[in-house]
Amino acid sequence: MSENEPKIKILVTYKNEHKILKSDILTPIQTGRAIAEKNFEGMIGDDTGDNISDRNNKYSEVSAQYWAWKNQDKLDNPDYIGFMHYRRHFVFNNKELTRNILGLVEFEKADEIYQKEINLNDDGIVSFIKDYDVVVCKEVDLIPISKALNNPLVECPRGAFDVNTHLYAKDYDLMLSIVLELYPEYKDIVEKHELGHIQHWYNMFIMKKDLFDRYNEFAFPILFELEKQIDTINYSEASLRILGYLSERLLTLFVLKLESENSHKIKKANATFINDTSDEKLLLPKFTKDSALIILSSSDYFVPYLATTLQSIIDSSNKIHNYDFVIFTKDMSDKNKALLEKYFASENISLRFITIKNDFDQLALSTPGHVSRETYFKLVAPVYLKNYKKCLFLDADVIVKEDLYNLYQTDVGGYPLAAVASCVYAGILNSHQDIMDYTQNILKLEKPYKYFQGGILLINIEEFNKNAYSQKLLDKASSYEYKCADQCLLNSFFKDNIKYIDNAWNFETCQKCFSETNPNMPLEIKEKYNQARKAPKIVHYAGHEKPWIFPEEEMADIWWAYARKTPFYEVILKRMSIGFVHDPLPTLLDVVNYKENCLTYWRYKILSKIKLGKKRQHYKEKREIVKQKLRNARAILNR
Amino acid sequence: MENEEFESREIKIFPAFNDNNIAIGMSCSNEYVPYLSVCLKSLVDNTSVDFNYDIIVFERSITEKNKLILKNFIEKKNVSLRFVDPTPLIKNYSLSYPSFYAIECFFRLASPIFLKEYDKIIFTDVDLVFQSDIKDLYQIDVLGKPLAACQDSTMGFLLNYPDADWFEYCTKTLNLEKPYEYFNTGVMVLNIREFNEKGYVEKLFSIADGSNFRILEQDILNAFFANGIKYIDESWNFPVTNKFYQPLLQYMPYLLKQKYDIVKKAPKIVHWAGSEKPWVFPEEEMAEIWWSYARQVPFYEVILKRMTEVNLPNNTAIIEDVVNYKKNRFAYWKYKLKSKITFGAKRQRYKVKRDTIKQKIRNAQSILNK
Repeated sequence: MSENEPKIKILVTYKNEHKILKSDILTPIQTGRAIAEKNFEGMIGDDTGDNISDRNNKYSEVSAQYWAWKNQDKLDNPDYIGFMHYRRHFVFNNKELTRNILGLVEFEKADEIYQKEINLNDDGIVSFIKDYDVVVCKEVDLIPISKALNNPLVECPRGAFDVNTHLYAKDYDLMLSIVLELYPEYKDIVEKHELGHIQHWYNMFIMKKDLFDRYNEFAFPILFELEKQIDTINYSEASLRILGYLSERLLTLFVLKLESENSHKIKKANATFINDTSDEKLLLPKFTKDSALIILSSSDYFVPYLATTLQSIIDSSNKIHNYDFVIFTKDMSDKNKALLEKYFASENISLRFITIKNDFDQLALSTPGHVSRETYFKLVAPVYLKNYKKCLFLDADVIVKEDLYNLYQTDVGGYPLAAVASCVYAGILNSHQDIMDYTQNILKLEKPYKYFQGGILLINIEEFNKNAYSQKLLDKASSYEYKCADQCLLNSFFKDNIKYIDNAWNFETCQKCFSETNPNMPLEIKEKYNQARKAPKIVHYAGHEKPWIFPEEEMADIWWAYARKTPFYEVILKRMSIGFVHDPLPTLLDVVNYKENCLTYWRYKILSKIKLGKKRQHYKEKREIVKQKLRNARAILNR
Repeated sequence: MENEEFESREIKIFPAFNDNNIAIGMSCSNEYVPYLSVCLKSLVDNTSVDFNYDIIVFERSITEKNKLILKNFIEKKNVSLRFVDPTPLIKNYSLSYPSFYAIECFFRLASPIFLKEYDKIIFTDVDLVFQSDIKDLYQIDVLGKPLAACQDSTMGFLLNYPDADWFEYCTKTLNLEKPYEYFNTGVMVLNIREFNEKGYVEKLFSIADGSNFRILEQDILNAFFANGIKYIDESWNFPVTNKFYQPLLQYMPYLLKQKYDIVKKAPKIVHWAGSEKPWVFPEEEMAEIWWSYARQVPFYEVILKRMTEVNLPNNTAIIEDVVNYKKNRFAYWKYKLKSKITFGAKRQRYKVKRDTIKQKIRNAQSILNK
């Protein structure tokens, strides 16, 4: 930065830990540090020198503004002082950008592309503001907001305080009367403000030092008087931030005042809003040694079943080893996360959660039938786990009967992963020629009987990341609609170039859906299968008939023995019972409409005979639907 | 009501133990016995051998069979369980109350009359579980106050909730000067001696009679004692926020919310005061704590059966409407005609009947026109 360029400090306020923006100019500051549970790393606080950090609950980010006003020496006495917030930044160029109704330009993430787009770098900032005295947010127009809310009250500046359920209009009125009492010269400005519908919100600005001082000298006497007069004893946390809200109105008044003076160069700049402010840190191993990294994935709804799998893993664990669980989820509630931690975490068992929000949204991933999207998390897990060498991925429809640490110790060598050859799939291959064709021609497996089960995978993270397998797999995932989603994908991608492990580590029970194909397994595989059945180390309910819905299935009793121990047992029972009840209404309708349906059936039958082509097909389909209704009715009527 | 009439009934209950007697009262219907058993199980699991626990259940409908099961299950060397029917005493009062409140709700208001041999008693609801020894609550000093109870933090957000009129209700109807100090009567220590010396029971009943309160017995106590009670640590009555209350938590006064969050980490009593009871909604917050006791009671399977039943879609009524569709259409015209040709009360009655049937016809049509 050259000598004659102005010295600028823009404070970026943080109330919670988010992705940090930092440079010579950008100065991250923790607001309310005096009453915070912890000091955030990599930033200063608003609690040194003359400060109101302990009143941050009422002042919001304005407590940092007070600190900057009173402690300019600590900022190296800059020529300009400004404020932006963790998810709201100025745009430091004059690009035409689409603003939302609240006047903000929305971005998904504050990544490099974003910073480039808004010119968020020190040189860009200097050249953008050096010709101005003041930078504030472009005006927010209240009229479109009031139209969107269908509430004419919102057209006036006071309106927000009438409609926001956390704000009180009496506090706004009090502010205006205090402004007029302390600064009679603002009478015209207040009138103009009240009649207008333009606001400069968000407590964001960059001002030359003298104007910054002048603004604070104007604003804080008002805010302190308000603090004295507003009884906030029964205000909610959101209502308590009243002084932060009112401060936005004071900034608007101040801008109007400067405009009326006609002697300041004021820039109204675009401001942004970042939707996702999470800071993606790579996960570090929880334990230093003797630890197994175990990955599972689950939706919020699936938690009771996940808990059953966890219960079995922990019951077969060994006190001398450590178990580092990482659970990938898209939507798990805080309540369920806390419950899982409360019941399963202990000295040698750690439970952590990674929320994956957007990685899949752009991809057209195929998720046929009963396979949930969470099963794809295993493909991307290695990217999040670069600090580990390998991880053990388990589906959450398994029961573990043996210490998983032993499986984790398996040497994967240079293979990308270790898995079990699927005996059940071999039976299907021998029963259905189309599946054999699919496996050979679409999946392109030369040795179809080596098709491995994707529910239990020991993944070589180093090998995955070295070869960028995650991205390649995702690319391939969207290229074809696989029958068994991720499992077919992995097979087609790695072929039999994996390490095969003992079938006892993934015994697929003989559920109803496999009962006709299992007998057709090749003899050698069948022997292996029956061997594994005698003492399975992991029981896998891979088919459609999950034990939580079908307790009469093979080895479902083992599953329920663990389910009973979890805090979710009654939720599981409730879902099972209710999910089973047959809704009698459709059948009842068929009975009531029986005669009418008889006529309709014959009409469609005749139409399907005399029409041709597409129409014939159409009537045939309709005929079949009505036929089923007739059958339903007869089943009752002929009783 | 005259004091002598109470006296004349001569219901006198003596403490079950000579010393270290911790008195606990609850009221319960026969229907609620399975849930009472869960509540009592949690109470007994958190007792100390150095104290004696004297549990009195006020009831009028519990069967002998259920009483026996409960006694066998709960009673121990230092735990006594007795049942008392107070209805003969309070039936003289013409009580008016909304139909969704059971008469059992009023048992606790009357209880001081038959507990004259006691200085104080803990009175609790049964839709809660104990996570701590109740003796610590009993030892709280209530001298000079009619009762001890916890501030109701759910009322805190209801008062601030803009789309409701609880603030007006509390300040105008209940006449509370400090509405935020509204207390929850699900867990109370009643100062029996004070109650009887000041004749509070009669006074409370005179308010109850004909009143139009929302949360009847709790509102009576709040209105009558108007914040003049002893407030105790909120962990003795932690109200679980059910799925309806969850979005309202943001309106809770800040200081109350801070306390609420701390208490939530280790509540001494967890109370499902709202409509979402854990025995119907096992997925509700903290319901797993309730079920951890429920698994141990002799009524566990009854509780499971009921849970399944109440959660089933109820199609029977609609099936009836469909089956009776034609009959109902005829009846509808009959009542329509009659409502036209009659007058006064009769016309009104036919109109009501007509409208009831109209609804049934609509129900049937909604299915038939699918």
